[in-house]
Amino acid sequence: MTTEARPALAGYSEVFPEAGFNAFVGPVWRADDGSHYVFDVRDVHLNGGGTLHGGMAMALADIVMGRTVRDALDGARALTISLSCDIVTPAKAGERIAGRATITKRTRTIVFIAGELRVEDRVVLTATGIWKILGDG
Amino acid sequence: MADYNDKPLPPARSVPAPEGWRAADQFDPFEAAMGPYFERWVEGVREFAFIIDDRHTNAQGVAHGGALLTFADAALGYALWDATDRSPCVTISQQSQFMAPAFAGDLVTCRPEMVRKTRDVVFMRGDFRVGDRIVFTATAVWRIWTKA
Repeated sequence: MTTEARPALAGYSEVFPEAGFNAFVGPVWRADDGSHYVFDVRDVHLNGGGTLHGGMAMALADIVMGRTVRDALDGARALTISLSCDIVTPAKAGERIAGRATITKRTRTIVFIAGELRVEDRVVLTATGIWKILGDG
Repeated sequence: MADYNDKPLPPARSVPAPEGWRAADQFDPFEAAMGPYFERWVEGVREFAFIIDDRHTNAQGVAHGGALLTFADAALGYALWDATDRSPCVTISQQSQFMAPAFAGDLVTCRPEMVRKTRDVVFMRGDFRVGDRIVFTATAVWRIWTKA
């Protein structure tokens, strides 16, 4: 997987391409304006039924929401402490998933965020999460 | 429901099983990519484990949420299969809490529980530990197609 070619997507850059898990399952592409993320489902991401594995779908939500949190924190780091995902419809290999997330509320130490994954108009997954902002970050 | 793959897949990486554990058969390509996952039977319950390596970490060397989410989905799915004679099923909801970091080299273990089963849905939960310390917990709702 990590040896596969990764043609650049114009107007996007890859999320954490140097990190283990993201490098292994990615690329996950972030639009340069931060408005959304793109992920192409490949055979390796599937379950035995031939659709996107639930773990990978939730991992993608975590990546999209975590990067959206990071964008809002001006350099501070944050960690997922809670993630609730509803897996609404299956996605297949070859489909392009678009991910979006919106911060609901930020306090001094906590970020509440909602996220969504879609294939075109079809909702694949909805999520809410809580991130803990690390001190003095 | 489409037919589910019933042929075990080779793990993407050869990882020796810790003492007392053996590699679990894997049927999902993504779990094979993240695996091997290990299993052992304790008092009639199948427990699961995996060792965190460089495929499972973030840039800080800490276990990525995605690796734990995937292992959780796998472990709860195996337990559901054990309780339902491998009925076709899919995760429809999972609530996950990340309580403490886990690091490369850590053995993460889980003893999943089936909380309640109805005709159409099954409620599952699991705590995930490194040693005695809980690092992660998940509750999940699965849709099931009970065999006739």
